[in-house]
Amino acid sequence: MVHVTRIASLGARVSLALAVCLLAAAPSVRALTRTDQPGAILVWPDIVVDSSSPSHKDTLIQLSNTDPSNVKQAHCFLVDANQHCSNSPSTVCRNALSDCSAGGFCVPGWSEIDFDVTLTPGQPVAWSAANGLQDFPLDTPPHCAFSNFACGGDSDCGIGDHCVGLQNNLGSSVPGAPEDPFVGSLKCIELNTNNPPQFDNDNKLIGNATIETLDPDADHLDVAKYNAVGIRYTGLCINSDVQTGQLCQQDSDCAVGSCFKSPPTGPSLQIGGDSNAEYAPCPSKLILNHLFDGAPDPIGGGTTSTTLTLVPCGDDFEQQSPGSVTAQFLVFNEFEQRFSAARLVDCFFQSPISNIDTVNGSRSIFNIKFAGTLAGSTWIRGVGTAPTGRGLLGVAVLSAGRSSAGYDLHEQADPPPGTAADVITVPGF
Amino acid sequence: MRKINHVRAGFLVGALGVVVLAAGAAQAAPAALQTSTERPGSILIFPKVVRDGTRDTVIQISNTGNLVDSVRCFYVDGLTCAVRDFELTLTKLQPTIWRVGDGRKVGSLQGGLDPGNIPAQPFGFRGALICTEVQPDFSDVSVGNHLKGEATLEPEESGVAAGDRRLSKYNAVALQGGSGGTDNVLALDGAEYAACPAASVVDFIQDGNHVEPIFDLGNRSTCFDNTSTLDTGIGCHDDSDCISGPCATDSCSCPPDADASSVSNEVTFVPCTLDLESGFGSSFSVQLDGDLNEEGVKQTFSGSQAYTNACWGSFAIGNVVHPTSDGDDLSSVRISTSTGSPPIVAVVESFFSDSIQNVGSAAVNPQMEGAETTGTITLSSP
Repeated sequence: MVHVTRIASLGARVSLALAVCLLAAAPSVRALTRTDQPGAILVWPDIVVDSSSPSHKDTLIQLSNTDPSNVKQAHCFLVDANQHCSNSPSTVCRNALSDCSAGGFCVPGWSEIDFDVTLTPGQPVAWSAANGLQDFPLDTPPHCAFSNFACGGDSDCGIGDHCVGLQNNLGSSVPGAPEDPFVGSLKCIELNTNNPPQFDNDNKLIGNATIETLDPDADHLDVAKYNAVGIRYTGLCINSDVQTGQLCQQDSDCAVGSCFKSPPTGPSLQIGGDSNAEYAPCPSKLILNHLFDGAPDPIGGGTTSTTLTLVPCGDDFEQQSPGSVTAQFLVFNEFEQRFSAARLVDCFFQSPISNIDTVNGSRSIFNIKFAGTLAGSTWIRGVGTAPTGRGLLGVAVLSAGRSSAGYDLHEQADPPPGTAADVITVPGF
Repeated sequence: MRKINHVRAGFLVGALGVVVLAAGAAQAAPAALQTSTERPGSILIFPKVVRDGTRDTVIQISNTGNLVDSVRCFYVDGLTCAVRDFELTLTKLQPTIWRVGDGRKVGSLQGGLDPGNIPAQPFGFRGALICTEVQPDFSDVSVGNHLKGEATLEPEESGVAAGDRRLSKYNAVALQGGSGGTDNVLALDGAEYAACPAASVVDFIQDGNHVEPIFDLGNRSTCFDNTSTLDTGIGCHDDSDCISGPCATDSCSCPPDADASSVSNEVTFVPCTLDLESGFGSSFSVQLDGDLNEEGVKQTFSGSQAYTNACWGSFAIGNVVHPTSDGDDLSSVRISTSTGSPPIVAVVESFFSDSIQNVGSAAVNPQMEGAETTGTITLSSP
């Protein structure tokens, strides 16, 4: 009897273990990158500076700490994705024929500048990509309110005096774009204020970008704005000291056990992947709703075009090795017809959609002459085996004449089980 | 035999445990329904739709699913709360588009499969568009979570040069459906449908302040004549742009950093309690609470705006709160409604202007914070 009971108990245990395994294998991860909620890693895919005549372009970058109580630090990487002429490496190349001397061609480039921003509770800051920001609003060292002596707390000040400025932006400095013209992206990773700082186990950063185009000679002003994409920190569900495989933000996300939120450890930050994920996965599919290039503007007449910018979810900032992902495009028109294309996203991809599949935009599957309808919907899926992963993030800009409007892509679909993680590797951690 | 039966029973009990646990897992931690501007849902809310004589709106809606999706849509007039409904049928993965002022007639040869007969909205319309998935016969609600959408606001043709279209575009707010319910009252409670956000967070450059890229690169002032008294009305960035007089903001020949560029920010919202059958609005107050960080000082500010029998609202942030500022500082504001009032979903549109009134606009979806489960949308009878 005793023997039987043990066997039965063993069966139950095996089954319980199976249950835990089932939970672990269940598709419990969710693509949680968001442009409308705070995140732990913010990505601005499209940063542009161009002061050349006649139109000046600059990007106003906004970054905020939504935590009402705690100071947060953002460790940021401004990625310079300019191409340069093969026969003149210091010359920025956007069009080989016009920018490079005879025989030159555009060579893709990738370099990054890192910097830190300290944000007090609830604080927003903004800067122009061209100029950066050196004078932060809260840049006064802590001091006694009346005596003005340096202090580290109220006890350092005399009776009736108190210490002010304990929460400040000291140590923050944002460099301007290293080149003009400049195209690239920005990634900021949330840190806590420990000494030394650690990657934070929270989601408190929000941001957006406003691309402004100014043509004083033509009396024209245009702005396009989008929200930064937030990659969200995630905890792991733990039950009786065993990981269940579920990712979580809070205890209620866990089927069993509780949500354990340990700070991510560097230098490689794991986004999605297996149960060691430190951040929720990047989506496996982006959806871009658009007008086909060349379509008439339904209101203003003239024609419209859409520019798509994509960046890899992962980057290796330590080895200076950008993410590389193949983007597969499935394009649907209003007749239920489907077309497809693919392009490599090596660090940074920006193109009018009708140049994704061909240099002759009028023959593109993204052109109204081919598609036959005004509106289209394009699914974008990243594939590849790069160590930085296969995730993609992006933003689109609709243009009609000289005017434009930015908008965020829809981020949809969890990566299927077994999908490799995206990885951001950060030096110095 | 007895031993084998017990062993078998043990495994049966265990297997049952697996099933129970797995089912329990599914029930104990259901995926929370999301309200999002970037994932498809069963209810789409476009908070800002205008056809007011100066601007019109282009609506884009897509079915992201592999089956036909039937949709009921409701234009809600922001001034009168009058409701005008229509029906769409979107084939699998079908995108569709229409201009609010034109609608989209069946057989209009616009290209693509006709989604249905979409009525044109008359001049003077300022309000919202609500769309919800329904059964193929448009009778009862249905939950597929396959709708996504965008709206583009643009000046009407008259009086606007082709190059100055001033586009603003935002994503519709999508509420995922859960159980969906069985009647025409859609509970936005996190169970039938996702809840509306408890608050919207907006970073903004304070109304009336200058915007740095314009200040650095664009027309920030105007040229005065050589007596420094007559404003020529010609935009300038600095003195080198002027023929004889200074580049200044007024006849005082203010220093070169004088600036006449500015920005204003408009919040437009829909309360999440809407009676689309009766067309009655709600009474509530919209509360704004913000932070400002400037010159070593943190300050808070707040303000509110009251609405009576409202089903839509729009206000300039600068008309509600006035943070004390002397420059180009950025503020952050949290927009919510008072306890017991319906939550809101909002969109923010900013208007940037230089010294000679060249204006650019941009819309953005605010960040959403928390969830408020008290919203209900009552559909009219089909």
